[in-house]
Amino acid sequence: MAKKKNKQTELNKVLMGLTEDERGRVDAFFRTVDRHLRIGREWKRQLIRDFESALVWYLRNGVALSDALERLSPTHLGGFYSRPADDWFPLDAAAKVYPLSMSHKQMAVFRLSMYLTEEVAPELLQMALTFTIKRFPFFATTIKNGFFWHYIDAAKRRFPVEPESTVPCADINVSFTGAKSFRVLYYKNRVSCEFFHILTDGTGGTVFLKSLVAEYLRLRGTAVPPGRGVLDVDGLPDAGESADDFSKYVTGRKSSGFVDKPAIQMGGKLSAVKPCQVIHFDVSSDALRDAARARGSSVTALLTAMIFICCKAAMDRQHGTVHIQVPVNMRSYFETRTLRNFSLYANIHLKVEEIRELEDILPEVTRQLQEGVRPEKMQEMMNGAVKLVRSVRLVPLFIKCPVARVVYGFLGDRAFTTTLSNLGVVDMPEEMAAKVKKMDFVLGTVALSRAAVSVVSANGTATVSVAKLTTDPSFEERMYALLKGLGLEVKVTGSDLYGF
Amino acid sequence: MDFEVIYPNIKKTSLAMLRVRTVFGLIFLAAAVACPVVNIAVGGKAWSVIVLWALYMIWTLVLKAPLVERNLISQGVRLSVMTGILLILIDRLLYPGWAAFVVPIVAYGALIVLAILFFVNVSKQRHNVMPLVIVTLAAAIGSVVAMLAFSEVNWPMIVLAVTAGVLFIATVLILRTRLISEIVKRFHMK
Repeated sequence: MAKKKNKQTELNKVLMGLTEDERGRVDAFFRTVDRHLRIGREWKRQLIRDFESALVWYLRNGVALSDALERLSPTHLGGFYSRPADDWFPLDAAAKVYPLSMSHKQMAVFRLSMYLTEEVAPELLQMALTFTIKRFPFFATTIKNGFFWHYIDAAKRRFPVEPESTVPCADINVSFTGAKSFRVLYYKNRVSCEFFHILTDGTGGTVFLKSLVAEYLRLRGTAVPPGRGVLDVDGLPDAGESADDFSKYVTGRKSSGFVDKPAIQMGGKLSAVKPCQVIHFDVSSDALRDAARARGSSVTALLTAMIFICCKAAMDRQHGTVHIQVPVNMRSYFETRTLRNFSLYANIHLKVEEIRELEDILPEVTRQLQEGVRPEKMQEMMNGAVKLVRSVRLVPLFIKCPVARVVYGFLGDRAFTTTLSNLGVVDMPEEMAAKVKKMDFVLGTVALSRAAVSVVSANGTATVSVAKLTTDPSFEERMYALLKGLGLEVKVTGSDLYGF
Repeated sequence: MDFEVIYPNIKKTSLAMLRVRTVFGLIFLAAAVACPVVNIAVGGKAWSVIVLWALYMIWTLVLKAPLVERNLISQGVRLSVMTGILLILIDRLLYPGWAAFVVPIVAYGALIVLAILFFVNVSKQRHNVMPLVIVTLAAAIGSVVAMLAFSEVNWPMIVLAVTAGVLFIATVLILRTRLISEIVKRFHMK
């Protein structure tokens, strides 16, 4: 209450410095804002307060009133908050497993961050999210239980941005009425989005983050044109963006299963806090690509081979098979506009005793990767996924849930040692690139895998991130040595150990 | 390998709930094993079934609450149904003869509380209405079937049937087409 009074006083103080005519324009502005908000009283009050805070920020930072009102124009709200939440979306074939397998200790969350050249203004980031969310209607949702499947139900509410205060990829509380399945965080010059995997995959998440940051930059005075993965947030949502394209491209012919032999796991005591540490290795993306080309492989194959060596360094056992799960973006194979999940994975494996020097294993890893991502193989896997979903569609959720948890516990996590997810090079408009230093991408950890690796390149910097589930530093130390061994200049950043 | 810390100091990660769950889990597991063993060894009435059900109630309602749709209405419905089952178990296994009278009183009391929660904020609670609709319908049908099945009809059963029926009709009238779309969502197989 006291905070609210302070805010009001702050706005009033700023308004006192304006002319009578200007105050009239501000009043008219808030009347228009009010007309756009037909939602619950508490949400409405908070949204209006967001407009006030942003206006105060502008006026305190020397932006002219007319410019501030133009940038904050409530027309950017569209009709999103004027209409009741009636839409809903079934989960796509890949997303169905996430709510079935989640537990109080485990949730599939991933994080994408963009590092800006200036410190983030939370007031404007909040407005950017408020203006952006309408363009992504399937993000403005909450997860619900159906009788046969979970689904996501539209939720019209204020979606807040929050200062970082938890570990990266912390569980998202999706249980209460209207609970969101993603969060937007800020810290210094970093804007991060953390998504529950039911909503989207890395590609969809990148589009959301880029569009959000583009809108934020517009509010800060730098117009970013739509295109190159930035959506026009004032444009109309496209049904194709929220489509489940697994069902669209399934052929019903040959299908492959998902069950694989158990993989050997890295050593080290599992931490209670997940992840217990995040480490980023920043290298030049050109230098990394050149290093891969010089060895006749791709960046993904090179990094996969390096991870095999890191895994071996992080385990005492000398027998067994190391499996690395490499997500594959299906957009490379099929014509699609979807921003929902549309990726599967390839499983690359080597016996521990076969893992020696990088040059020794790279040809085999490259071969397996090329084999694993063949379009026919991906098609078979997609057929298998859709077939599996269809075969259990008549089983009620209260039976599916416990069974899926048990099956996932036995097969899901044990089937691979670690994951390497490479988002590739993130393209963006020049206006935006000038304001963005780099990006990073962090995978949430799973129950057993002691380290999950993810990579993204933006603005000439490739960031390899490792999310840890053990205090044993062998994995990342070996990764650092291998990157240095490629002749790369490596900058290491990260978090302290959490929970210790 | 030195590195620069680029993450803020976080709030002391709360492991308290995790620890509480682990400790209670062990206690509950011990009790769940010990009670039937003692019950079988000592003989007599099957009181351990009631203990097991009570443990399950506390576990699912408090310690391992649902991860999806944990709201006042859904939790209220779960509590009501589980309490009803607990009362029936006590009646059947320990002290028989009163459940047909007490359970309907508890049930219509719970329905009235749930109805208040719903009608006080229809615009918000309409998203949570399905558990209420199902339990109301089940209560209406159940009480009518019970009245037909039992030779002796008591007033709490009649009150339960009327309360459930009125509540169901009121919910349908208020939500109308929204109730249909809610049913479509809930029972989709896509």
